[in-house]
Amino acid sequence: MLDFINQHILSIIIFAPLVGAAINWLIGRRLRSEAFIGTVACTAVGISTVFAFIAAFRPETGALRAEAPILEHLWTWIEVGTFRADFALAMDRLSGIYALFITGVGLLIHIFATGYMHGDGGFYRFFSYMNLFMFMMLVLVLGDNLLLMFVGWEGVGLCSYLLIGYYLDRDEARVAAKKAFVANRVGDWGVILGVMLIFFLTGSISFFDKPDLPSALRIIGEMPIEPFAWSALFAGGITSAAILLFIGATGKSAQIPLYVWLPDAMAGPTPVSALIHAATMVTAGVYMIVRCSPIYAHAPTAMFIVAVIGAVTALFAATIGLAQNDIKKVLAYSTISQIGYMMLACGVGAFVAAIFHVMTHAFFKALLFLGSGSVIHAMHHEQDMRRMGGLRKYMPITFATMITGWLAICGIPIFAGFFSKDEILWKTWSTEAFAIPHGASRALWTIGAITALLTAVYMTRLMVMTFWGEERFREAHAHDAEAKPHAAVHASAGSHAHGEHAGAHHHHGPVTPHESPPVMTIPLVVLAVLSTFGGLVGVPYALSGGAIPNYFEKTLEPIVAHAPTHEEAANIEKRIAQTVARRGAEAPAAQPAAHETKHETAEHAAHSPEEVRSERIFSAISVIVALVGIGIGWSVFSKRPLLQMPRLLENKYYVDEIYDATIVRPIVRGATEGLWKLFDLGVIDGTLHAIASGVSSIGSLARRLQPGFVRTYAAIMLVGALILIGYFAYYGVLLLIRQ
Amino acid sequence: MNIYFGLQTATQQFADVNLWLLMPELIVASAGVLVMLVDAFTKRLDQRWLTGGISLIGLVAAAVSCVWLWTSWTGPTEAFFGMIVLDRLRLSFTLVFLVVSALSVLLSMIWVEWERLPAGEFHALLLFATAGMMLMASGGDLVMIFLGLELLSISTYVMAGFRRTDVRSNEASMKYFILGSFSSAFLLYGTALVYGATAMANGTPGTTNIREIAQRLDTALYPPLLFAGAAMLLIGFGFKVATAPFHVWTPDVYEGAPTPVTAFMAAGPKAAGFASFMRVFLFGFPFVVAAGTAQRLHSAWIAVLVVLAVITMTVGNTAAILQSNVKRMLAYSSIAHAGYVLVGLVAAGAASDLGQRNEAIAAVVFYLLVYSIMTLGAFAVVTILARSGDRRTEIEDYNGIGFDSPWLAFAFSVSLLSLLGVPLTAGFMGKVMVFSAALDQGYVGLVVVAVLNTVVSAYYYLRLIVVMFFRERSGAWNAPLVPASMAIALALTVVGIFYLGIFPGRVIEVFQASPSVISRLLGT
Repeated sequence: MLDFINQHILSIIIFAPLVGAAINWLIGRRLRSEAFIGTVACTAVGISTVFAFIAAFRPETGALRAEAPILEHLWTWIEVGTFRADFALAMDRLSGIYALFITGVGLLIHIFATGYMHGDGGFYRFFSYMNLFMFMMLVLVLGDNLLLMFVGWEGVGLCSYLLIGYYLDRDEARVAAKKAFVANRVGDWGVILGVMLIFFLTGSISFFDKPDLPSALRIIGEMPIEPFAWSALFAGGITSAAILLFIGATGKSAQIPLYVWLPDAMAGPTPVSALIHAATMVTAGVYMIVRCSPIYAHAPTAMFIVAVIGAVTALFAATIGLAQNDIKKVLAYSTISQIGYMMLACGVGAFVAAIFHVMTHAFFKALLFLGSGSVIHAMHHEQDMRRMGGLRKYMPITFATMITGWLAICGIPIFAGFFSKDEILWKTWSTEAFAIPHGASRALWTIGAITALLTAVYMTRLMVMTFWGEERFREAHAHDAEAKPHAAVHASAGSHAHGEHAGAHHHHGPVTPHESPPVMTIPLVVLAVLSTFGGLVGVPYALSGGAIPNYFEKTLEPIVAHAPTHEEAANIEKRIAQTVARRGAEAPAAQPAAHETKHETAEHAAHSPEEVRSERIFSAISVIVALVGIGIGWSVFSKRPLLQMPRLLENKYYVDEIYDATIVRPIVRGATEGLWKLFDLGVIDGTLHAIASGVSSIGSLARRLQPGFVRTYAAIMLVGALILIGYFAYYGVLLLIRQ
Repeated sequence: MNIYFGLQTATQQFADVNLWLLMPELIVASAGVLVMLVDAFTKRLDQRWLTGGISLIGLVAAAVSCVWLWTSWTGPTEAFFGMIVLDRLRLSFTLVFLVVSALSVLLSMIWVEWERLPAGEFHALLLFATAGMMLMASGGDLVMIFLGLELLSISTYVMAGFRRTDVRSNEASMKYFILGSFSSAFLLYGTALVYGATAMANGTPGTTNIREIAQRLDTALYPPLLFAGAAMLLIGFGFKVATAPFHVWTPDVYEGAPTPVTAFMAAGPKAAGFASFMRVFLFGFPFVVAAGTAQRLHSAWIAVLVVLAVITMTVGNTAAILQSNVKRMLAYSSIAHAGYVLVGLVAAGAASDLGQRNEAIAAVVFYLLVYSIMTLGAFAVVTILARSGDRRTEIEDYNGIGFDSPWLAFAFSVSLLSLLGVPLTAGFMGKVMVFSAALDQGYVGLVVVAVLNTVVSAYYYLRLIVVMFFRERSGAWNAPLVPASMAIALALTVVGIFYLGIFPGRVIEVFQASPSVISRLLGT
């Protein structure tokens, strides 16, 4: 038994939620018992959680302890020629960390959801989808090759689609689900092309070296670094592969230009927003980039683009977040902005910092979303912050936990977000990566710092509007007409700003908010603890002075690639030039270059005193920025919580409208006018009709040849036979003449 | 293992008897005889279970002996002076025939009762026909192949007219018999001509042994005779596998014959025809490098087959579009599929490399297996829906039945989609295999024509699905009961279609690989 578990521990982790989904779908829907469905769903995720912890921390072979990943080969999935994709699982340090927080946070959110979804007609459906999502997400991170990762990638997309559109009776949910699906398809196109290109380049799609299958990542790691040039993007080499994968990441992780689906995705139930659209799925893009870090390390152009897109997205989304009135929309834009940070970290080569932020973000953003869910629940599905205010009296636990989330995201020391965000900013400033030109790192840091300021402002606005100030929910209806003409003007914006149920508008009269039940508050408390202390696993050397070891970095550093610095890149180029000069055009020195890289990583780990000093200064700057942001937010919004924000921001820079006008409508028009009317009706139908009439005339001939008389048949066969024999005989006679 | 039934050692020259090599054929034939005897001595009532059961047991036993021959046989691979050969071609085809027959038995078990026909006779005929098919695949000699063909043909003539009281059935049987005899004459005459042409200058008489024919081609005394003989052989086989223009008998016979018989004829005899066709032309008139008679003959038959393949596919598909009767439509569909198989046959014939040739042969066998399964599946549904006397076989009879008999309609749709060659179904993999074999040999144009034909075929296959699901029902209709044996047959075909469509590798490997690999796969 124990042996079995030991050998199949990863299978247990991924399949437990699948079994849960199946049970709820097949049995739960008949029983219609919330207790049963909730228990099954939470137990399934609980099993995954327990085994994920065992797999990660068990002595000696635990994924986070040992050097080698845990590999589990289930079956060979596809084997065609030299192409091989296994259905095999692997847990190394990176996927171990992902699996831990996916299952852990997932479990808490599942528990929360049993309270949040109480009384909903589709209870079994909701939990089936949630469990299915957990399965797919775990396949994504535990798959040991690109194709299996892509299966999970598509699977979470599907579950996301199903859960965004969970409220079947609401139009905006349906539209949002479709939008999410389409935006993700655009990205998936990039991923699948990237996977093909990687296979083309390396002949493998495996992440790890296996007995008879080399690792694609290792092979790329041994290739020479590509030049930093725009032409590399289209050269079909490593850079092209990296950028194709990144296109997928912009879809799944909601970056410019494909981020537009994520805010609309808030039409789904709030636990879904917390689990899928904040903590786990949307960070899949970051996972993929870090997993493929050897590819990015060899593609400086791609890294630069990742960094720029990440930084710009972070700032862009933060400004929009400033002006949103729907509590979930603020958090959605905040999520986009935070993922921008992670992308920025990837782009500057700070892969470890990116994953660190993924983890802390999972804690505090899940907390904030669940907290907002608790508020929405208490307000009878009101999401507009303009109709909240003063809730701290009524919901003390929610309030207290939200405070920790708020401080964490703002980057106040001790709280989790501080360490990760600070590390990203510091790494951005101090990056030596070849991919980032010297001036660019300063510019990127500035963008990051401004974003941090804005983050503190909009989060403070959110807290102030929700928990402090006058209680606006009582007179909400009286206000409706005159105080917020804006909402009325933007009828569409208004309709998706409201609550979880159709027609919520009508039945939320004056309500007295109430604290949520313990199944909802306990997960909040746990997440609050994690948001507070979770960052301590990755305290940088500069701040602790070595007193607390940086566990996180120590764990992850060995498995991510080291982005080459300017110096190394120059050395490599020099060496290549020398080699070429020495022995003609053959064999660029890829092998020694790789050695060099490893060698310098070790040196890199040393901390020079100047570096420590400047890192401390920058930490201080971060803290000041955060405090200033909170100060601005407090002073502005505590007095005037309903302050009208700039229209441009409130309307999200009209990006949706621009996309609609420039992309969606032309496609629709082109499809109806061009493809349908011209091509489908004209060309295809026209051809078909022509064929049909042609065929019928052939048919009448055929019918004349097929009258049912044996003599006719015999005659036809005889004619055919004579022609054949004649042809053959002709050949034979020809031969005879030649002889 | 080397224990022979017959005499060996010194007298071998005079009696090359080795019954082990004939084991599968013997088992099937004996089962046929047993069925006849049982039929004679039992009451009619529970006959079908008894005779059907005996048939199935016989077929399974034959399959076991076939696998045994394949995996464990280490003795000689020829017996009866080359009349019987043991090779991959034979064994893989034999397995296809056994699958076809077993499914046909399942199909006909209830049907004979519905029609009040003597089950024992029917099953005995089916088994004899199967034995004939197997001999066609195992014969290493033109005479043996002819005997197998006659055994098969005579049985099927009777089966086609098995519903004695039905005029259509009688007509079908008569037409089949007359035209079949006509084509048999061609085959026999072709055999005679080849025999005469392969006589040698030193006075050695000619030969009908396929391997020897191949060796004597270049020294043939009368090349024109040889060519004419080859042409006649081609005509004879062309009739059996229904290639245009020798297909003309097919629609009438398939339409008139009782549906389970049609199912059997569309699958089994066609596959058997291809088995002999391949044996004679691939091994008797093979590819040679050196210029000479053999080379000319080879290029001649390849060129002819290319043309025949194009005509057959096109005629089959265009004519199928026009049909209003489902059985007739499926008859034309089977003609079209013969065309696709010819594409593979051309590839196998043209391959100069032995490995490529084996791959192409495996592709053809795989295609025929797939085709048999999906055709039997389609005809099984037609049998069930047609009721006794084959009353409902017009396309209109299928209007709107999809939602009243969802399982039947599903099975039918799966079969049709597979016949069309939709991905994930077996038909798709079959087409991929055959077409890629042809592409390997450079027949791009031929493959283009084949693919275009597939597109055309979508019209009539999908039309049936549309009719079933998207049309209002016309006329009264009550969902038929599906008897257990039929349900098993249908389930097997549906599972088979998906299995071969999704995991074709295993089966293809078995058809391609050398016996030692097979034994490793089976763990013996």
